[in-house]
Amino acid sequence: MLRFLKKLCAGKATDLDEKIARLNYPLEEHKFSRSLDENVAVIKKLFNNVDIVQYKMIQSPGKDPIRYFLIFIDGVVHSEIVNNNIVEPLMTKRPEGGEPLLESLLATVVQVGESKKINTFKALIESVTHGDTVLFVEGCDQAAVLNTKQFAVRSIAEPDNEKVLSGPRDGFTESLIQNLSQILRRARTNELKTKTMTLGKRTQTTVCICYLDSLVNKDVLEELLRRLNKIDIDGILDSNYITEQIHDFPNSPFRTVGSTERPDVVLAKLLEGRIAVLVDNTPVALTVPYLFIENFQVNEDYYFNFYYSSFSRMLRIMGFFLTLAVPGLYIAVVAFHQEILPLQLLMRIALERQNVPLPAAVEAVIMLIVFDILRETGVRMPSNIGQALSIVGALVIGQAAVEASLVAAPMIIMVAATGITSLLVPKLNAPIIFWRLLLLLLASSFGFFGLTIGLSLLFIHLNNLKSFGVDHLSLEGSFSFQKNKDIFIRSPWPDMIERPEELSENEVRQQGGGNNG
Amino acid sequence: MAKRLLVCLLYILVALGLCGCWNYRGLDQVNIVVGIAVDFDKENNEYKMSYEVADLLTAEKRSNIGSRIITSEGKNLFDAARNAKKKELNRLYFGSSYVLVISQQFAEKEGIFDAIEWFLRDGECRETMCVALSQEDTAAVILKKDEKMSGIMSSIIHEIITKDKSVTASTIHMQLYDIYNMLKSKGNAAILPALRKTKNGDREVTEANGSAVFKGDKLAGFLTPEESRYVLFAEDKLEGGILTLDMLGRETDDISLEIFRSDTKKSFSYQQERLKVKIESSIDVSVAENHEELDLTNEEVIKRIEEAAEVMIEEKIKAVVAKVQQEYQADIFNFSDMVYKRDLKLWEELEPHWDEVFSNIEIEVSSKVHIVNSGFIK
Repeated sequence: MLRFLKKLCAGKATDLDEKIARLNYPLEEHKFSRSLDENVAVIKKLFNNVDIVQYKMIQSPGKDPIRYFLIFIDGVVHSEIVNNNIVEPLMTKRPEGGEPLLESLLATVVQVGESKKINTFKALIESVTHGDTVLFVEGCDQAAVLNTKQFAVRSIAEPDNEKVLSGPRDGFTESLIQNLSQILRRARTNELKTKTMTLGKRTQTTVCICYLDSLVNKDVLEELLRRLNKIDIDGILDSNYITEQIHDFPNSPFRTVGSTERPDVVLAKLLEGRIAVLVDNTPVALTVPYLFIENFQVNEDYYFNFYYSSFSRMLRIMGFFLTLAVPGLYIAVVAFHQEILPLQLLMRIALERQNVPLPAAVEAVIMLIVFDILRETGVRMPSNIGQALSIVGALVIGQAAVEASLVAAPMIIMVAATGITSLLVPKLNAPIIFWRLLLLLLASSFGFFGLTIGLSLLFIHLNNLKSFGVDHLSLEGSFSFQKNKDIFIRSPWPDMIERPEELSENEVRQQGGGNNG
Repeated sequence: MAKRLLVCLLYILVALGLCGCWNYRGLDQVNIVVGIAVDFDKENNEYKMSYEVADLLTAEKRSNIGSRIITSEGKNLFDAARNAKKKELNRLYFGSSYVLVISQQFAEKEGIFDAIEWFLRDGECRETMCVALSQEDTAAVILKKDEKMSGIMSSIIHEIITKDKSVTASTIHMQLYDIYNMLKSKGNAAILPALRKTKNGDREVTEANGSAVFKGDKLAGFLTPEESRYVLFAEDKLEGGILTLDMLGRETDDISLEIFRSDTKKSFSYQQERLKVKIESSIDVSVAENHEELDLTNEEVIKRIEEAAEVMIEEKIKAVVAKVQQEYQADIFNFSDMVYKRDLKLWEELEPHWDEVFSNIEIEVSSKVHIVNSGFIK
C-alpha cells in the first residue's frame, strides 16, 4: 500500500517534471494553470535553492474542502498579518457567495487591505520578493497578491552631509514610500504627481518621478522620461547610477543633475518647476534641471536672514575660485611674476624658499596630493583612530617639514587655504580637483598666461554645459532684478516674484506680493 | 571630434609662441635688488654700479631682513650689471628695485639720459622706480647704511621721497618714466630729488635736500628744500606741507598753516613779442599753530592771515621761477610743452630761440589762500 502510494506520488511528480521540461521558453513567462499542483511544481522549480521562501498548503473547513496554497518570504512579510488575517480565516471560514471563487475569497475571508490579481509567474516573483504574500486557489488560473510587506527601515534622521543650524531636520531614508510621505506631507495638493517606473533588470528598483503639474516645464519632463526609459542596466543601488546615465555631458566633471537628501530641498526645487527623481533603497534624491548656481545655493540660505545668506553665498562663490586658482596663482607669482609682490612679501617668501630643495611648482603638486591623501584618509579610516591622522597631518607634514626646510612655509599656507576653501563648495569637489591641477600645470609652465588660458577653457566648458536643454551657466539673461535675485544674493522672500523662466511654465510665484518687482 | 581637438591644440600651440619671454625663475635663485647706485670711474673709464640687495643668506627667519651691497664694473651699464654675476651665486633681479641714485659727477659730465634709457629699456626694472641725485662724492655712499641701523636703506629713501609731497613738501618725487618724458619733451630739462648724508643723533642717515635742476640731461644746479616747495606749487604737485608766517612782526614765524589742498593752473599769453605766463594757485589751509595774540574768531584777523600767506606764496613762486630762468635756464616747469600743446604755430615761431625766450618770460602769479579750518580750541 505504502509502496503503491509512493509510486503514485513519484509517478505523478514525474509526469509534472516532464511536462515542465517540455515547456520551451523561460518558466517565468508562463501563465498560471488551473491545476494547483502544476503551479506549485513550477513555483518550487523557480525558487529552487531559495530556501528562505515559505510554502503553505491550507484547506478550508467543512465538507468538500477547498485547497489553498500560500507563498511568501520570511523576514520581508509581517508574520502577524499572515497568521491572523490570512491563514486563520482561510482555515476557519468558507467563502460566501458564488463564483468566481477568488473574488469572493478576497471579499469575505481574507482580511488584508491591499490586494490584486495576477496570472503570470513573472508577476509572482516580483511580488513575493517584495514582501507580498501570494494566494493560490484550487481550480483558479489567477492568484491574489496580498500586501503583507514589512521591512526594517532606518528611522528618519538629519542627513550627515547636509546639516543645518536652523530649519527642518528630517532627511530621506532608504525607503521610497517613507521618502514620498515626507514630500507629500509638505505639499497637500493633487498637483503633486508621482509617476513610478521600475529600472534595473535584476534589482527591479522602483524609481519615482515627482513634479508639480502646473509648474513643470513639459519639455524637460518629456526629455527626462525619454532618458529614463533608455536606461539599460542590471542593477541600481544608488541614484548616482541613474545620474550618470541621464547626464547631458557624461564626460564632464561638472554635474548637471542635482542631488539632495532633504525633503525640504526637494520641495523647494519642485516649487521652482524642477523635477525630482526618487529612487528606492537610497536616501539621495535627484533634481533636474540643475543650474551651475545651485552648487552654491544651500537650503539654509532661505531659512536665515537674507543679508547673512547673501554674504555666505558670495563667500562660497569666492571660495570656488580661490580653491581653483590659488595654487596656480601662487606658482605664477612666485616663479614668473615676482614684480607683482610688494617688496616685504617678496623678501619673506624668498627667505622661506632659501634652501628648499624642490622647485616651487613640484612642491605645489606634491603638497596638493598630500592634502588630498589626508582628506581621503579622513573619510575612509575607522573613526576611532582619527587622532593618528591629525598628529601625522598637522605635526609631521605641517611643522616638521617646514622646520627641516623640506617645504616652504608659504606653500603650507597656500595648501591650507586651498583645502579649506574647497570645503566651502562640497558639491563641486570633482571638477575642483581636476581643474585645480590643470590650472597649476598651466601656471607652472606659462605663468599668468597659462592661468588665463586655463580659466578661459573652464569658462568655455561651463558655457557649453546644458542640463536637460537648459543652459547650465545661464549668462544671456538681462540684468533685471528678478533674473538676478537669487544668484549672488538671496533676496528677501517678498521680492522673489518670478520663478526662473527656463525652468517653469508658470513664471509668477507671487501675485503682486512684492514691493519692488 | 578628433579634428576639433586638433584645431584647439594648434590654436594653443600658436598662442604659446606669442606670450613673451617669461622664464621660470625660482625665488631662491635670485638676488633681490632693492636699490641701485650709478657712478662713473674716471681713471679706468668704466661704469661702476652698486646694488643694495636683500640679504637672505644670513637672515634669520623670524628677524628683520637686512641688506648688503654688491658692486660691479663694466664698459657700459649693461656690461656692469651682468658682471655682478661673476662674484655672486645668484643673478641679480631688478624687478623690485625702488631707487636709482645717480652720482653728481656722473650727472655733470656724462649726462643722465643714457642711464635712464638703459633702465627703461631693460625689461625687468620698474618704470615707477624712484630716481634721485647724490650730492655726495659717489652715489654708492647714499645706499650705505650706518652700522647701527638695520633694515633696507633703499626702502627708507623711497619712503622719504614718495611721502615728501604730502608731509614736508621739500623735494620732488620723480619716477623713471617721468624723467624720460621730461627729457624727451620740448623743454629738455629735468628736476630730480637731491640726497645727502647727514647726522641724526649718533647715526649717519640719508636726507632729502631739495632738488637738482638739469639743463638737457646735465646737472645745472640745486634748489633748496624751500625753493623746491614752490616748484611743487607751480607744478601743481603739492599735496600737503606747512606754510609759516610772521604775523606779529617779532622776527619769528608765529603762525603755521597746514595745506589741505592745492590747485594750480597755468596759462600763457603772447603779446608784443613777449611770452607771459600766468600761474594761479588756490590753496585750502587750516591753522595748525597759533599764538594767543591772534584772535581766530575775528574775521578780520583771518582775512589778514590769508592775505599775508597769499603775498608770501606769490613772492616765493616768482623768486624760484626767476632763479631757474636766470641762473639755470632750464625749463623745469615745462612751459615749452604748454605752448607746444596749446599753440603749435607760436611754438614753431619760438622754438629756434627758446632758451632766450624762456629767460625772458614774464611771470604773473596770483594765489588764493582759504582758511577752511581754524582748529579753534576752547
